[in-house]
Amino acid sequence: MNTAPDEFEKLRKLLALKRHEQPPPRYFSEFSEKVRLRVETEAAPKESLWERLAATLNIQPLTAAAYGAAVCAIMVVGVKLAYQTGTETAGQPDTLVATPQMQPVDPLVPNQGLAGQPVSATTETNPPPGLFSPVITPETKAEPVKFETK
Amino acid sequence: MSSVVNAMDKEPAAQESENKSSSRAEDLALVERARGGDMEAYDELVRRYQERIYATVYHMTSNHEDANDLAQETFIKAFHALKSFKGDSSFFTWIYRIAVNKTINFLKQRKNRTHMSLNDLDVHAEHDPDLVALVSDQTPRRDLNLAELQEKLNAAMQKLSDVHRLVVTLHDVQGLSHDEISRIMDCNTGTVRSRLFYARQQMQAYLSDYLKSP
Repeated sequence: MNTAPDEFEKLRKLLALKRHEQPPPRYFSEFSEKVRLRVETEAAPKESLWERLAATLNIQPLTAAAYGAAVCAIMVVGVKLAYQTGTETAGQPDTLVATPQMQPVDPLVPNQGLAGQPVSATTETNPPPGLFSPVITPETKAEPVKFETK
Repeated sequence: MSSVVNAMDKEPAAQESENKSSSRAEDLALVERARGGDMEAYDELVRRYQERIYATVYHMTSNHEDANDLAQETFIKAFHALKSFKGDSSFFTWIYRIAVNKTINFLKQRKNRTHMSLNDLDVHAEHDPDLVALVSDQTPRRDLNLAELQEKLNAAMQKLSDVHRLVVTLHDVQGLSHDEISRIMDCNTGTVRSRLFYARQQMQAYLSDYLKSP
């Protein structure tokens, strides 16, 4: 490593080249303004989520209020109409249109409704069998017990 | 006669010291006004130091965009920290410390991902006799022009460690005294001198091709 004084002197002159490296023209005339803008931006209170959303979507407060009022009016009219329709149709018997796909299901009949099997068109209105109302058919009817006496 | 010469020698130094103390008092007045929310006063402080702060960061990073961001962030941070400025040191030393700490933290994060974005040389560089001599027939690298030399110089600077690059930047490029550098780096002047000596040796080794006489 050569540390001769003339080399050091040359290095000093070479380093002076760095003083000639200058940023683009007018850079410093705009610098303080940029700093000031950033300081003021950071000092400003942070916007709420709604404010940021409104800013992003460019929503004006008056327009937003008008939209809100319109939606409310539509909802009120809709609810009113629904009540009116309900009172007009009250008392009229509901009519059921039986279609082949809408067959009543009998819980006592196994495999009913399967493809290719006939389905009964009648509906079972009796309550389901239980302990106090057993299903009694002619085959299952019990015969009275006869006791033989010797 | 000798006393007259001594008085003449002391005059520029005394004048410089007087200017410094006057500038320091002005800085303190501007700081007080800026603390009270006077943005015009802070603008004046920014204008006073923007070139030196930018240059320090630029010579440390060899990148204009990084220097621009870091210099702006330095002044923004300083504005928010004005209340903590007690006036123990000058505003000049205080803002330099902020810039240097910010830059060194940035360089630690960047590590070895060095991307140079160098500023153009001003028109005076071509007429500087010292620089013209460096790229003239006297050097072994006769094909070298100033722009190439600038790139080699910056590449050599980037090979130095952050603290060594900092002392070279502050002393050899910006012309700060050992005392001022020791206050900025928060170390004694002996450390500054030894770092400067080592950094120059390193630079001479990296740039030996361009420094040797034919």
